[in-house]
Amino acid sequence: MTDVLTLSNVSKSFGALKVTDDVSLSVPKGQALGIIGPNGAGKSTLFNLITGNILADAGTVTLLGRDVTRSPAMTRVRMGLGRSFQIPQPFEGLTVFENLLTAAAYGQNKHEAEVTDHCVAVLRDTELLPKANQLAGSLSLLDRKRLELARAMATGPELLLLDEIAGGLTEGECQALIATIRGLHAQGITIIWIEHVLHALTSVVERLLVLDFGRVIGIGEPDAIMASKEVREIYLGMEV
Amino acid sequence: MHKVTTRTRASTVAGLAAVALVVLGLVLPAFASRSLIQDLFFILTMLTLAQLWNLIAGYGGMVSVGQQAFVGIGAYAMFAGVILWGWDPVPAILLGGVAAFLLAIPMAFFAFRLQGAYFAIGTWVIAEVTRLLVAQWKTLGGGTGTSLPREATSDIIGVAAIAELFGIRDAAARDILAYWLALALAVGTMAAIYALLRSRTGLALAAVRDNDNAARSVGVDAQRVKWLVFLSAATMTGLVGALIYVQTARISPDAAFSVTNWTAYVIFIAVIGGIGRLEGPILGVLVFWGLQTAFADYGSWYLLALGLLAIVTMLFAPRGLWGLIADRWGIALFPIQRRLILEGARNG
Repeated sequence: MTDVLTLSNVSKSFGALKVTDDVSLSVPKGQALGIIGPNGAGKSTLFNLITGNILADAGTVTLLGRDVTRSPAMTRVRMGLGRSFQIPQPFEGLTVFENLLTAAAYGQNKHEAEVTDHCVAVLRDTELLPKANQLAGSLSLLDRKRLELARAMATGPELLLLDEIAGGLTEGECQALIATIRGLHAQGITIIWIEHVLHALTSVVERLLVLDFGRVIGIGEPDAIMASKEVREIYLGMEV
Repeated sequence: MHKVTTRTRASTVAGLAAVALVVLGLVLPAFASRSLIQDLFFILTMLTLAQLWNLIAGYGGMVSVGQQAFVGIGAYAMFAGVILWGWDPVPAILLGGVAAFLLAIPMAFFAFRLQGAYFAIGTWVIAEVTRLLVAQWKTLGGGTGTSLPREATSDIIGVAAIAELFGIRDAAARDILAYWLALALAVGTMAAIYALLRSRTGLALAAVRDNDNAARSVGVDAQRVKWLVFLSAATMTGLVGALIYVQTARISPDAAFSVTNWTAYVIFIAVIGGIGRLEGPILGVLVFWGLQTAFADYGSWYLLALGLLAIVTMLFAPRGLWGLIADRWGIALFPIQRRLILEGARNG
């Protein structure tokens, strides 16, 4: 199986603080990988290193067979990497449909007319179709989370990065979102997903990575990882 | 298949009305008084400046307080063309566009490193530096300024023909020529802005304004979009500046680089009318012209009142007069919102 993403010995420091410490990892095509770890473990930094919002100090990032270690976020998006933000960042002055249209037209580098049907399909998948012509600034939290997912999907990604997309939702809303993500995964899209809501994560991913103090302290099948002593210690007091 | 449209019933009517107004504007000199033509010249040039400021600030989120740099450098470049190289003033207007474009490159290079209020102050500082530098240009009058030579203004291309056509004196014919050029610039600028906003770049511009970071994450080259818009607006502002001073025929650094005349009034027009919409400055310039005609004699009291009016508008109607109208009646004369119309459903 080919790897969609490979990190080799990636490190990043902010001043004296090493937030990503010699991380190596490969994600095969079609896999869903979950990333967990306590607050401040360096999950979001690792994400930003993958997306190109932050550049690594050392090591290499390979996306779809190409070395993108020094490439900006924009280039990686056009290569097929879509991301959602932990705190939704919609284009508030645009409608839901226009948010997707922008992402699709630029992420796939096509004319607006060429991507309209794709946008409609994504709107349907993410249950946002009835709100297509509403301003994004007027959406509820669940719909903003959906829009994050939809906008990332509109760029036509092979690799989808989800940053705490289930956080802050009610149980019912969470279930609806999980169903949507599972549907996308079933279409063959590779997913990397950071999440604190563990049951949401483990119901979708096939592999789990545990991060602490910027280091990988465990990677493997979700059940085995959750059963390990080290992980239980880190998550002591946390609902598992 | 799904349909995407920006058109509304009001926009179809507005489109037809706009064409009719432009035609009326073209033939107006045949029966309008000279003072009306002069007033319209003022309205059209201020409208163009306001639309350009609105483009970079309202749509692009770059609140510049240094647009007078482009008016001034544009005007001085035109003067240089006429006085130093003997150009006819009308083609020399193009030099104004070139000069403003060249000035905008270093200005953007420095100012784009700044955000928000710092960007605003940065652009203002650069404009002041430019004014001080131009005031050193002795052949163009230095700090006191200079006038266009009589030989240059007496035989401007086309003036004799206009004078003969309408049977009027040269001075009146010059006003008509300047008015037609102002009309062309205003219509051209608004058409270009409207086309830009309806293109893919328009979406990118809105995305960058709303969220720079997220825009990059969907593949938008935010820097490129900002440069494109800033340089285009600067170039057009330079052309308008040059045209204004062809009509005035007298220049000084303080007047040509006046922050009050070319940026504060322009911001007032956009704020009163409605930032971030093409209709705003059109309404705003009419309000401004009305106030200017009625109260300009009150000097600083007038300026204080303008400032107060702008503050009250920003507090209670942040989207301007046109915003109030649009909210009340849901009208958009120049709509840019792409509405998705699904097959078999009519959802607005």
